[in-house]
Amino acid sequence: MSYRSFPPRSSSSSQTPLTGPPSGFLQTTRDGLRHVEHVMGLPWMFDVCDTAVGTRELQAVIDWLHWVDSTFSTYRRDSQVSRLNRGELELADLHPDVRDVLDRCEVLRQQTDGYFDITAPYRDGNAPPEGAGGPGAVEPSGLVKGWAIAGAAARLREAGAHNFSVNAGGDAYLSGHPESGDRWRIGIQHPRLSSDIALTLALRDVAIATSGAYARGAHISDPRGEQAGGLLSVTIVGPDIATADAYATAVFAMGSDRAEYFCAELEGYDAVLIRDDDTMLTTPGIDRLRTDPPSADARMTD
Amino acid sequence: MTTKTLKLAGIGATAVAAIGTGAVPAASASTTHKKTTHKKSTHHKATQHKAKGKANQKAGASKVYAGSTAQTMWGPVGVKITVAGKKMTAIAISAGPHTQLSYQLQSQSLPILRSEALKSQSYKINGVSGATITSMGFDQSLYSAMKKAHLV
Repeated sequence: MSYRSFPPRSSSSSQTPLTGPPSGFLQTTRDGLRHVEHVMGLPWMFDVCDTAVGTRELQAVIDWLHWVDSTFSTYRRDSQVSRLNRGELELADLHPDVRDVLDRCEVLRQQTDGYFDITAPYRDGNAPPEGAGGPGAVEPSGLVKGWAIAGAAARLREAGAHNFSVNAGGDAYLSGHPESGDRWRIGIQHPRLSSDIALTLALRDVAIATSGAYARGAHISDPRGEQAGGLLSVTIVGPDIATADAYATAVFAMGSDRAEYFCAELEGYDAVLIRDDDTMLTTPGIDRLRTDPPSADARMTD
Repeated sequence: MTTKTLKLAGIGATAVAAIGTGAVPAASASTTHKKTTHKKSTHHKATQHKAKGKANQKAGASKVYAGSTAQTMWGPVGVKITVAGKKMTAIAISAGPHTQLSYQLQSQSLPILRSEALKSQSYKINGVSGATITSMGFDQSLYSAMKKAHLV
């Protein structure tokens, strides 16, 4: 096992991370490479197990991620989203990828009954960081992260990788299998015990996203202005990381009661709801992914 | 009242725990207002007892459990399940005036969430999924706080 530095980032990548491991650290193992890159204010962890993908291919993926950041970030004055929010760009002027993301945000808003809403952060007089936005100002970062994870995964696959994980600050796509074992074992963080794991899932060719309030206080406000609670964290597992991430955000905002019904009706996606009474609700599909037998504590309520 | 009943085979006792997770009002098909789902009213309770008695008569030793009424994208929905022994024998969905919902739910089996006590576990893992500490979220929060303090 050897360690070497990853090629320095281009000057266009500028956002300084506040937390997390140092950027540009590459670990090359016999079977692949690992790398952490800070983009969009998140630590992006790449674990690529195939030798088909080398540092050059990974660098191309990382360059693309920085392009995504420069195009979508509301913290960059010249991003397309910032210019849209200031009224300098019309929808028709936007890059097709930006239009695609905004369209998907609208679909998700409808699917979640308004609980996933990219206009919510800038209501009540809140303006985007870069310039005053009108009432229709948008903050699509809630979808952009997942969309970018999917894009990175697609680019890695195109480069010939089959077995890899892309984990952006706790939301991940798991492709194939890790260096050892036939499935990626992903722990769902315990919402009360920060260094502990509440549940471990064995995943393959699937995405996992978690939303919760424990990491930095209540970061998800209910876009419908209601006070729903009862949940400590929501984890969604399913084929598309952007959808899983948006669902996790929306379901957390719903609060416990509504979240149960929403998750029970999800098609193709499974859910783990951790409630503030320290109980856990899981959809049936989660049982097939668990690495441990379901707890004997599961019993009928009366 | 448009209460539909689905027969689900092979669902064991663990499936039952999820619905009826607390002392919540029974599902009522006559809920017409959209924003007051979780309001406990005598009307709800009366409906619950009535439905319970009815189902008990029908199923003999079986018991009926009512879930809380939830707002869904189709309107208010409530579920009642019938349990005999440790098997769920029936699930009834009350969907208010939204008959389309009854139809949609009837046409598919409703997956059930399972509840269990949360136990911290420790296993060898390849990664963690958790609520993100993002510098962006921090920035946003900081920015709004600074704005309120007239610092920016």
